Order: sequence, then structure tokens, then C-alpha cells
Amino acid sequence: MLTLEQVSELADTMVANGIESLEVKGTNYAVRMFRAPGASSKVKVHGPKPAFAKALGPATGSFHPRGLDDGLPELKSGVQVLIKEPLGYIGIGPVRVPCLSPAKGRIIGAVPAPQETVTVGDPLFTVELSP
Amino acid sequence: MIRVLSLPPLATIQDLGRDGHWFEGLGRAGAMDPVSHRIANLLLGNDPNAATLEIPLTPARFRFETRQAFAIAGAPCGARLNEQPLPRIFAGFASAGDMLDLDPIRVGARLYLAVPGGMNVPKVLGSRSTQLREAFGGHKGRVLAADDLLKPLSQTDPVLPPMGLSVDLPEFRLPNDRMIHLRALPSTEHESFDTASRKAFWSMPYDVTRENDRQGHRLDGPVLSCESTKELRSHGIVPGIVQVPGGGLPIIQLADSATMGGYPKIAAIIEPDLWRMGQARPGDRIHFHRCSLPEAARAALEHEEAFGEITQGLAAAHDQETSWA
Repeated sequence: MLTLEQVSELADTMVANGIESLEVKGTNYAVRMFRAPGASSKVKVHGPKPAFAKALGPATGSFHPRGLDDGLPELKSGVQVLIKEPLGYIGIGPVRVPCLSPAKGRIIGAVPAPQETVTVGDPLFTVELSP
Repeated sequence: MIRVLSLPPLATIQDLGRDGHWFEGLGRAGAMDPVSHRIANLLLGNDPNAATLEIPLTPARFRFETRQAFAIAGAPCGARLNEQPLPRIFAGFASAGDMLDLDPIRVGARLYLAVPGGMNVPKVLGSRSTQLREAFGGHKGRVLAADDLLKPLSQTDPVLPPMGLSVDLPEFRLPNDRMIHLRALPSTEHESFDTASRKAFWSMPYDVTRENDRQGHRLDGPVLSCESTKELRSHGIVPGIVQVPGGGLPIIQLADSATMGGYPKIAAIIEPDLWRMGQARPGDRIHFHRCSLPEAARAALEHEEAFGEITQGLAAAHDQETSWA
């Protein structure tokens, strides 16, 4: 069975996230909870939510990672980057259009695969913004 | 307009060289790495012969006095525009007050800085190249120094995306390999060297020594001996010629080559590979590969085709211009 503390925590989370109802099923029990009209959030906020910015494909072509032959370090998830720092390139034949970081922050998530075909506006990188 | 804030010695204005005066004993000068020089110009839509600043030593610092398109190409050196990292080949815009920083060159030996239309210096004897030995051409016939101003010949902005442009450039040597491979033709006195020397020259690596400048590179490695000890009359030599002085260690003549020399010549590096020597530095190794005249001609054709592909690629990229707005 759920403890009273767990029920209270679930209720707070429902209020904080605007969830109207919640059903929890155990092996020998089921709890159905409803949010009271007008209930306000009681969940403690530990800090500002992380903000993200997407680096979009600047051209249509094939993706070239940075760090192969451009004199820049290889880019991996978790690396800190500066605003307007080249994150990779879109190749149009031998010409490359740099994909620049939209903000200062940390690269998170997957990075595009080499030679992947991308088009203008494709989200290529996610940057978790630094304060 | 770009102001030089700090720049180690030996940076000079160069184009593709001063042809037509060899017979008068006046060397050609010109960019040591004409491939990087041409790429920097192509990115800005310049004539390939437009003058650039050849920078053989860094760190260096420049300040843009006005909004200015620029391009860099050549050895990687941690280039940064207002602390934003730039790829080793890049063309874009800088705003007035922006700072361009170049850290020490880690691989290679030179990079080129280009501006629209080329560097605005007077043409002397058909070229804007600095003739350092004779102290004319380029920027007052001398190396650039702090407080010098680099002015573009053209005030028209090139077509560039706001995020700038870069381009594939062949590596002057394979990554993580200090060996530079050079194709060469046997030269006039090739057969005068003994069999063991010829075999060693074409099969053994040579080291690039610290004795190197724009005139040539002295190599260290297998000592070569000439069967004929007859002294040669001085005769014409050109960049790419590999001479062997009395000590038996080869010297490669480069952009500021003398026009005459009396040492026996064992080989001539083909022009499509000579740019790699412009990026050679002490500690690099060189392997000569013997090639035939038809192979050299084919290499020259392929070399020009590569520039044609870059030009086509730039045109295709410009077709996407609307997406850059």
C-alpha cells in the first residue's frame, strides 16, 4: 500500500503539473486520486528549469562533423560551447556552411551522423543554456 | 580595414608571384602555399592572384577598424573572432572593433589572410608580392609589423552567408603522420648520382631541418653522392628543384628561390605537390615519389579540377543564399 507521505507527494505533483486525475494500481490495491478544483501547487521548486536552444541546419547538404580537419576539437554531447561557435558543417560539394551554436551552453543529446543529409532548418544540435 | 596589433616577423604580402623576370635574375616570390592562398581568395570571390597576407609565425592579433569581410586559410592556429573559434578555413564578416586572434600554429607552417579584392598594395613589375631580398613589392618591400593597416582593394561585400563559409582543403600530410609525400621528376643530373644514392633518395625519408625559409628547405637524411665531381656551371633553377650541395644533403628550392645555381639537381617536385612544402616545419618528414611526365601532367590537371569543383560548390552554395537571409 502507499504510505500517507507517498499519497501526499503524488497529490502535490498532480497539482504542480496540472493533472486532473491519477490512478495507481498495486498487486492488491488501486488508488484513484482527483485534483480538487482551485488547488494550488505545493511542490518545492529547486531552481530554474533548464532552457534549451536548437542549432538549426543553415543549408541543405550533407553533415560534416567538426574536429576532423578544421583545427577545432571534436564535438561530443556534454561539451561546453560559446555562442556562434561552429558545431559542424553542411557540405555543398567541397564547400561547407558552418552550423553555429545559437547560445552559450552545453551540447546535450545526440549529434548528427557524418554524411547525414540535412535540410535548411533541421534541428541539428540541442544546447542547454548556461546562465 | 584591418590593423595589425601584434605580429611576429616574416609576415608578408604575397600573390601568386612575379613571373616574367626570371631571365633578368629576379626571382618570382609569391605565396609559399598557393593552395591555401587561392582558397582564401576564392571564398571571397577574389581573383586567385589577389594579394593576401602570408603569416608564417603566430601568435598574432588584428583589429577590424571597419566592418570587413575576410577569409583565412592554411595551418590550424586556434583562430578566434572575438573569442569565437573559427575553423582553419573560413570566410565571413567582422564588425568594426572585432578582434581576430591567432594562437600558435600547431600543425603546418603558414596561414593566409585575405580581404575583398585582395590587399591594397601597389603592383610592382606586375605583381604585389613582397620581394624580401630585394626589399620591394608588397607592403613597402618589408614584413608587416604592429600598427600597419591592411586595406582591401574592393569596397564591395562578397556574397557570404551570415554564419560564414568554409571549404574542404586537402591535407598537406595525413592526420597524425609527420610524413609529407611529394611526387617528383628526375632532374638533369639525376643519373650523375650513384645507384645507391638514387635508390636512397627515392625510398628513404628525409627530415625537414630548422634551416628553412622562403628560399628553401635543407633536408637531413641519407647522404647522396654524385659520381661526377666536375663543377657545374651556374644554370637556371626554379622553385621545386632539389639540389644536392657538396655535403650530400638535399635542398629544396621554394618561392624565393634563387634564379641560378651550380649544385647538381637530383629531382624536381611537381607543382601540384609543392604547396605541401609551404606547410612543412622542422620535425616533419618527406618521402619523394618518382613520377613520370604524363603523371605530372595528369596531377596538374586534377589539381586545377579540384579548384573548379570548389568554384562550382561556391556557386551552388550561393544559390541557397535566400535561405541565409
